[in-house]
Amino acid sequence: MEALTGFFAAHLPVGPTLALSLAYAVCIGSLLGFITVYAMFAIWMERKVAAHMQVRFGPMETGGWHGWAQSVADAVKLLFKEDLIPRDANKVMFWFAPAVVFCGVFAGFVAIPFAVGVQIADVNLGLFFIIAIASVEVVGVIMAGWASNSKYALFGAVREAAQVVSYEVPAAVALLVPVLIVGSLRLGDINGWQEAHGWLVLRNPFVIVAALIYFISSLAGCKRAPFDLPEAESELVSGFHTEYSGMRFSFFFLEEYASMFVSSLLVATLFFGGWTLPFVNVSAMPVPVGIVVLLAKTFFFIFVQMWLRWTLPRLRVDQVMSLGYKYLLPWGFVCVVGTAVFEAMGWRWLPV
Amino acid sequence: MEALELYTVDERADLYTEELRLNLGPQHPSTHGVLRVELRMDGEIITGSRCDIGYLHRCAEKIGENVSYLQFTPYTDRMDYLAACNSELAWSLTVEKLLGVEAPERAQWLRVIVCELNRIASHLIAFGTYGIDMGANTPFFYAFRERESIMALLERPSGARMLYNYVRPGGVAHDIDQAWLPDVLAFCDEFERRWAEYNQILTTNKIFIGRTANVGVLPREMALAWGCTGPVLRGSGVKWDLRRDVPYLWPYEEIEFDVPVGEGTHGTLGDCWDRYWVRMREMMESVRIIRQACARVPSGDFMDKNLVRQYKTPLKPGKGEAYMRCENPRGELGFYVVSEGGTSPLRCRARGPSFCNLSVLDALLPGCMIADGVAIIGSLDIVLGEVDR
Amino acid sequence: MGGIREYFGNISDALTSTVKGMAVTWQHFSKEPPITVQYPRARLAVAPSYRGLHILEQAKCIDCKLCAKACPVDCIEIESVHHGRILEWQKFTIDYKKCIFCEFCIPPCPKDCIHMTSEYEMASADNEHMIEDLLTWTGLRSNDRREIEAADAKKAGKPAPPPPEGVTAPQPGGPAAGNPAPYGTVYTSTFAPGSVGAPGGAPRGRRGAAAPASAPASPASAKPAAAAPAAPAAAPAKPAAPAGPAAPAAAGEDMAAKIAAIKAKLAKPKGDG
Repeated sequence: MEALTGFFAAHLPVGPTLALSLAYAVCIGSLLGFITVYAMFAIWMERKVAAHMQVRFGPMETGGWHGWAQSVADAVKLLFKEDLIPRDANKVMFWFAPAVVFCGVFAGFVAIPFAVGVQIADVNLGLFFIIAIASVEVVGVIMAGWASNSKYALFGAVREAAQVVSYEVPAAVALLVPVLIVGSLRLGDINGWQEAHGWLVLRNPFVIVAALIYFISSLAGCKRAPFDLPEAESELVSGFHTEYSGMRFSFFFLEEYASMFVSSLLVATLFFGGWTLPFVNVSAMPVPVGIVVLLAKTFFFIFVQMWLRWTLPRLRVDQVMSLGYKYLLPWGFVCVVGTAVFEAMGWRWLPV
Repeated sequence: MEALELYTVDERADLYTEELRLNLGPQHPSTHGVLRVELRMDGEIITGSRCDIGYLHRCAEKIGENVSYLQFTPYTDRMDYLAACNSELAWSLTVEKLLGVEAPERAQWLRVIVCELNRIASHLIAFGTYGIDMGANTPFFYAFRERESIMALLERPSGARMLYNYVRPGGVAHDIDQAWLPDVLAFCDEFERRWAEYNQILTTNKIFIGRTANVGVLPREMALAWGCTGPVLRGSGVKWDLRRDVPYLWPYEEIEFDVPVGEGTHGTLGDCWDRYWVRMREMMESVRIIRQACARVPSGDFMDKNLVRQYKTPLKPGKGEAYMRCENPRGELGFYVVSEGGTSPLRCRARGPSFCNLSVLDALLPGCMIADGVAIIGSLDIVLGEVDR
Repeated sequence: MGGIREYFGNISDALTSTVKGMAVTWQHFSKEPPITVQYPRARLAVAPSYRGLHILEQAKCIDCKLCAKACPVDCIEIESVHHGRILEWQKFTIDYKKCIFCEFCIPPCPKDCIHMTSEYEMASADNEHMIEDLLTWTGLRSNDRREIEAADAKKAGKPAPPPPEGVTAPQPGGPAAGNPAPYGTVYTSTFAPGSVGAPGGAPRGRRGAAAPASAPASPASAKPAAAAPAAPAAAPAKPAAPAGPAAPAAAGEDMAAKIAAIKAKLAKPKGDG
């Protein structure tokens, strides 16, 4: 960001304010473009993964090679669809909800470091910021469910509220573990620490459990199976976005895939070394290689999310709660305490 | 079905909650057709329900009284469209009883094989859609893969893929080709392997067990009192199977097979898991039956010669009445026919298993969560074509 | 203690059963090829005994209407005029909106002239397309017409008109020369229906859509003398009756192959499978 501003100020005949605005515009534009392209790819990937797990082909026609353009076609279709708002809906909230939902996730992207220095805002509380801003999405979902004036949508929204609020806690507790080891909330620092000391997940056994807890909690946060209760197709038709169609619906879709990306990227960054590779001198690597490494890890975890989705049945509401509070949260605390003990005593369980 | 009375709300109380009415269906992903259930909800908990059926009513019984005996056979296919052969069998046996004829030996064995194949196909649908009800989409496709093999097998003698019209009064419509029986046996081997896979992905899954165990418990006495039959009754621990107890086709007497009943493996006897597991084991029993039957198919006629001649003109049984019941994949399917000596019956009545099994739904739903409600509807395994007729 | 054992049992059960399920999906993802086919490009084989759309061997049909009576849904409509033993065909339609493919129209036929093919594609955006006319020609065959005309002429005391040019001697069972298709249905299929076709190739045309517009089939009022020279495409209108070995055009061969398949099916020994 600063680099970009400096670049504009130095090479273009503009004042500092304009340079800053230009830099903002470029960053936001590129992020939006990235999220859109990524979401289209992820949707295509999800369809292909699902299809091949279910001995089907999936999209094959659009675009020629394995239906690669299917998502593009779908996006165009969604953009051009009629804008339907139910008669008895609360129009303002109905209109506003997808924007709120998307903003929460979009803001989270700002603090994500893709490689050394490739980051829009180097927030020193980056991790905290991402967790906090991602929760805004819940507000949008509740707005959507309430404004739709549909009972199914209301059920979905209430479930979402209960679920996401519950699972924020174990997720945050699990994320404390790497923070405890590294001693910083800045994602760049955590990455840098892993360059020097190896992947965090290898640090001690509790970190593995913490990674698992965070991954499960993030599934719930993204409303992915087996925690897709807010959508719960077989129960609530489509959950909170039952009444949405066209472009507004696509925002919910975009949000789901974007938050999958954020949570997978956090798993990769915090526990699996970010842009580092084992046995490779990272500081000698060019920046694009680091980006590719990080994206590869991220897409691996996205794939695992899809894999789980097409394997597992859905939990019931009370089971979601009991899993969160009876299993994930206590074990999260165990991990924090265990890691603290390990670090305080200076123990290592692997010769790394 | 009592009318829904209005829930009274005390508005003077500091905190009052209103009852929520939720209309589940007739267009809903998990009502297995066009069932409509009017639910009264207290949050996620169902406090009352009322089934509304009849969206698929096609006057099947009345049609039966206006077409000839033979012409009604394809209509029985369309009642329980997932188990067409079994429905045809019940009708054919009724007409045969009325006519006082018995199908030739070869036809009897062929009927056993096609009906058991169709039972597997029907239970596969029950298994697959139950997975979808639970949110697991993938088992559905695996189930359809095997069902596709069964449809391809049944297509060869019958000429159709779903509504076979193969079992007819007097025998079966066509003979099988030379390679059919070996192919059926090959399918059985393949299916056993796949069945283990189903259990691995769904039956033993912890989440699936959590969703179905102790849900929708139908006690033994209640199942008997409500007239439940088939896997729903057997899931409650009642060992009652017409194939074993009232063998309507004599080959069943000569075949060894077990009648799986619910055992309360993961909790209470008669819960959704028990009903599900009874179906899964019945598929294996059907494979066992098919294996034995394939080894014993004799040569000879596949259709009663006298009746075949009569197919040129409508059948004309004498005066009388007949009732025959068969073990459909969903329970007892019976046809009651009164003949006045004409070409079409005076009265034609079907006793459908899905209809009777569905009646217990209103008693099972109160006190459950909405997700459990979906699980219960799925575990009853209804076919709306036969409920509404 | 039991509670604690249950607690840890739940955790291990959940983890192991999830991993087991994921192993199944992974196996399918990595090893098993898709079982579906890309439908318009490839098709699954249909059994030869399949009960699909009907065809009628019109030359054999005697208009007994037994098939219509046997139909449980009354979807067959037959209209014709009898000139003594000669039949003038007007209508033999099956309403596929009603037909349930129960096959009950086949066994009653005394002449064994109505059959079911393996054709299963009948989707249409138009209701009228769902009513299929099984007749290959309507009205009278040319030789029948000449026979009647000769009889009339004889009655009137005049000589019979000479056979028109372009039409060789009486062709029993042949269609009217003006009708380009030996059967009412024209297919422009590049692959045999009911077989797993190679990828590529256009989807099959809607029935009847491919009938050349230049040769409108002149129904009841068939004028063979005028129509035959005017429609060179239809010139090789050889008899396509089931007994006839040759059939005109690719479409005709398609139909002939179908009839051959049906014949084979009918000839299949029954009762000793």
